[in-house]
Amino acid sequence: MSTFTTTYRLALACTFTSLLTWAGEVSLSPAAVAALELESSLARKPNIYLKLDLSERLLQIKARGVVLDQVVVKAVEAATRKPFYQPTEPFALQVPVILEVLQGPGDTDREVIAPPSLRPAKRRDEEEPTPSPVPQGPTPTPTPRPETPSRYRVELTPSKAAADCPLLLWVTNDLPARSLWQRFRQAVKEGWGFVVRHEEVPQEPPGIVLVLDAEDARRVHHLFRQGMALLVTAAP
Amino acid sequence: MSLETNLRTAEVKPRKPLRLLWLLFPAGLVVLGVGSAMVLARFGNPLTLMPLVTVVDPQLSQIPTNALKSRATKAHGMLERVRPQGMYIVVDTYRNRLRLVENGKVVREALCSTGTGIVLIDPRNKKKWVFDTPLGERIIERKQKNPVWMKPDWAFIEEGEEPPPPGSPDRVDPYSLGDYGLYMGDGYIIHGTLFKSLLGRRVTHGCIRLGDEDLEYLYHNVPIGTRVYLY
Repeated sequence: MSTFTTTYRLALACTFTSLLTWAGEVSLSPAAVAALELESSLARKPNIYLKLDLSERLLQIKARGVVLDQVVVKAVEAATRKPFYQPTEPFALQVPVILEVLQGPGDTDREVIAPPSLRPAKRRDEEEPTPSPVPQGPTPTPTPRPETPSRYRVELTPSKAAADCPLLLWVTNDLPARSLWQRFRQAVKEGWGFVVRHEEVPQEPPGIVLVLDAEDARRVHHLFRQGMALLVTAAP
Repeated sequence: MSLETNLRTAEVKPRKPLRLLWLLFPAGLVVLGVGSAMVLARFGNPLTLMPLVTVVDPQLSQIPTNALKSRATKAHGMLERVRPQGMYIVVDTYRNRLRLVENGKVVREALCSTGTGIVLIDPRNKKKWVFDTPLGERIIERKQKNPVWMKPDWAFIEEGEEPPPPGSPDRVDPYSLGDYGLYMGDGYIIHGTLFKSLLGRRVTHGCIRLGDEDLEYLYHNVPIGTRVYLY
């Protein structure tokens, strides 16, 4: 059985399981109902949307309520830039919530072709009188494309859950190691840049870090483009 | 005490503070370095990982159970209404695979080619084309046997040529689309290809190219109005 069929069947199974659960009135928690309402508002539109289920650790690609595909999330963390001596507290995200992509790699990682000038087109009567339907010579080879990255950042819309601050989504294939020593080293480096070179200290909004398989991270890369909706839920 | 001993003592005595200095100097450097680093670290803003916890809006928990039930029924009903019934097509533009789904079961799976995502800029007026296969839901609006492609401006600009005037016979291409075309609107078509070896790769200008057999199957089995989900 191909990977597609397996993934698709898995997705179907998940859909039907959730339906059965709903039918049994088991998941009538306020959060589950709110998530259902938010999803139905997204499913009314013909757009693709993403559903991130934090408790099931799944990122689903959906349209009209149907799971088209899904990837397994290996780990979820939060990340933020904060002063080294400030204590670390858990990052609270209010769920369910719909976040929207402001700008993502699907908008920016693109090859651009811009011919410097145009020459007059060859007229049909200048060509062979009866062009062959089958192309002659070797099949054209497309220009090799740069490999899709497996680590990227997505800017999301301001969210109530993040105290009206913009939120980042960091998709990566391995969780960055942020030990005390590494943080100290980075803090000293940035402090040195600030004091000696008068560089600005980097500021970034807080972010959700999603750890996916490298191939899965590449698979969803193109979906993170302006306007894509991300429904974040955490079913009880 | 002999003269020799006296001399040795005289030699050693002045070296004592020097030895101490040799010990203190590196220690002082270390203290200074660490101290400076700790001060500098105050100005840094390093990336910090922390656990992500989810919180539910407390107002939600105040909703009475009956209201909750009716809201759930309404939302579920809406989802059921918009869910595609019967046959639909799913296109994975990353893996370049097309699936025909009927009643929740994949009945045909095919290798296809989708848009490159390349941006083309017209040097004359800086007009931009993005060769993306559109994401989202589309509908098969019409089907055509032996479709003819009326080459748009970008097809010439991409080759570095000036586009001929609209309606020019130079724009007519009866070969590139293959034997059948399933039109999804806005110029996006599921069609055939002359370059079969490029199936499975992102090489198109946004259309979906299929192999001959798969295209013929789709043409004969997919009715007009079938929904297509592209992701």
